[in-house]
Amino acid sequence: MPIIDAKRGVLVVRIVYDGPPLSGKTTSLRTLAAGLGVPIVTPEEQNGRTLFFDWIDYIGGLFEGRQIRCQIVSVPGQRELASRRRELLASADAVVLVADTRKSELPEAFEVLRSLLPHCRGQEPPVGIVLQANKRDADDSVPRDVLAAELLAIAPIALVETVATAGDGIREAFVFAVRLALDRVRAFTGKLPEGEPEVSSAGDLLERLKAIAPEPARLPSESPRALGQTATLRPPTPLPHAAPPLEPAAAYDQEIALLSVPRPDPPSGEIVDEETFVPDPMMPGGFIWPPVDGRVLLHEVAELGITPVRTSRGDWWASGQGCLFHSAKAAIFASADRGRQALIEWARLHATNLRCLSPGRTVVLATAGHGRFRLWQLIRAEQALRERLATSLVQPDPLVLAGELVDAACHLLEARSSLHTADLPLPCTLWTVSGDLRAQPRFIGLMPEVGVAAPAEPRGNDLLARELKPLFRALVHQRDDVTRVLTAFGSAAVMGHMDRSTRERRTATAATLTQLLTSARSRDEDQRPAQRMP
Amino acid sequence: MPSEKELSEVLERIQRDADGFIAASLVDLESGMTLAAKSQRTDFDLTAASAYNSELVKQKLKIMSTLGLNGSIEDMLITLSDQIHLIKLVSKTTFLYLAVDKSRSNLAIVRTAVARHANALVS
Repeated sequence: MPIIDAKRGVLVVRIVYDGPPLSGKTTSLRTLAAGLGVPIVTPEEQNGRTLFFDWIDYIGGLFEGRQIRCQIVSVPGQRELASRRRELLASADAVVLVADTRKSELPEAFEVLRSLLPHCRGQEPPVGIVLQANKRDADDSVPRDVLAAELLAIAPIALVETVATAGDGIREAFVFAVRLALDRVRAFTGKLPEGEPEVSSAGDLLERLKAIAPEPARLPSESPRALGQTATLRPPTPLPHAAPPLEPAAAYDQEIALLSVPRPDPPSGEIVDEETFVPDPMMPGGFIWPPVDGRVLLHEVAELGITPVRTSRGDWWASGQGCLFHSAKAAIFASADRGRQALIEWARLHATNLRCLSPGRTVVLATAGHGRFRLWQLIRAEQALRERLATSLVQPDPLVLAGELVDAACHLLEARSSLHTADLPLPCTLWTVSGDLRAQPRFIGLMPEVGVAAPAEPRGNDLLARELKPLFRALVHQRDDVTRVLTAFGSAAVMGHMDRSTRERRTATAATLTQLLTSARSRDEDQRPAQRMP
Repeated sequence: MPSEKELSEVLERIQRDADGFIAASLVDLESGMTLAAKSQRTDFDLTAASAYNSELVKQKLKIMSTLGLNGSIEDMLITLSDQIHLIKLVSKTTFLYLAVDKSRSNLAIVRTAVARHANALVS
């Protein structure tokens, strides 16, 4: 935990270097110490292996008028010394995970990362992680894009490539970790504690660790929140475009419309020239929410090289590689102060509705040129219910398809109850509701602009009719076994163990689906009599 | 971002071109941490100088915002009785800090040396 050492006039933060055995933690710290021009202390070693920790005490940088004292510590990588690792990680304000990125060694690094995540995410405020992808000079090191994709599937983690033996990237990873630590300091809601840090030297820390008996590996706290923060990797979302193809700017607006509250009229006011937003992980603290995870997401998307474009309505928009960026035309502010007020308001809205929202959301206030600032939302894209159903439609077994449709319809109705509330009436469509049917429905679309009134969503059968009719028309076109699907609805609804109320609810939903699909088939037959005749 | 080694090489080139070179660093504006540093004198605390100069730049940016000035800072010059300090913004989030001995250099030399190499610190 950070502490203000008032006597020395410094802010004390701890950066912990973690990672599997022999991944390069000690080499990284030795290189860093040489670069910073400070000594490194390694209390005890055995055959070149760290038994307790490596320690660097470095004063550099400035935070709100105070110098920053970084206690830079590496953990022992050996499994039998896990209790020491645990103790060191418990005090981290940021973690640099040193990973040997050779093909044979990477799984172990990811295993360590997975074990680390619950602890880091479970802290309040969360502890940021930088993945220091080490040994990039090795012939069999995993290519960066593969590494980034695999990492994305685990969690939003910043990645810095390094060759510790040559010193490449070591300082960059360290400075990024300091930034994450400072973001964490800013995110503390109460006043930071003042006084002498409990551990002020390598000697203090050694004494502390020697008092700890060895015990099995387990990190300090494991919070279910961590699981909610992990990301799902998926390819860029293909969105449906009506034929004929739209002009690009109009097509972007169509994509935005699918993911947001209905916006009937284009906003007034001329479109003025602006600086194009370039995601920058080094942008100032106080302009990113949430501070730690937000910076990590920015770091990640900065690597993707996605550039937003102006839509025909004057919004800014980009999507691809699992990320969405959006800024409404009106989300521009004449000064940083005004922009920050809006950022705080929006951050508050996000924070109070975290339970309903997909993870991996960041709000950023970025310069737009001419002294103005623009508010952006960055979202890690997730599978929508519509995308899930698109794959269901090609299910060969009518019973499985019927089951998927009933599950999806129930999921949508549940989303309507939990996501479209008086406090925050989020749109509930097949494109804005999450497609993971095993989890609680979450809103995966664009957060409505502050002050924009969303129209009331229909309920029950009306909502199902609005959302599923187009899909059922496609189903009737694509499949010859619609009758079998219709017959299967009843049994699919009550398959498996469930309580009485669930059974009744699913049966009622299946009846609605039967009605909608029957109607779609009748309509199709009316429209295409010639094609159906023998 | 260039590697630390490449950044050090750029600072070395600036050292070569700027007569009276005392020290130079590439500094992360937000944290004040140095991303690369080169010093000729052991009595010059480059780490502290870099950190406090980050505050200087941030304060100047605040002043500009308060005054409603829409331009951006290109460089900041501080002339001491015996030294010249030049701060050159090389990106939105990093700046180059250079200190030279005033008796052995002049402003034109310092600016030329920095202008010649500053781009290599970001690309």
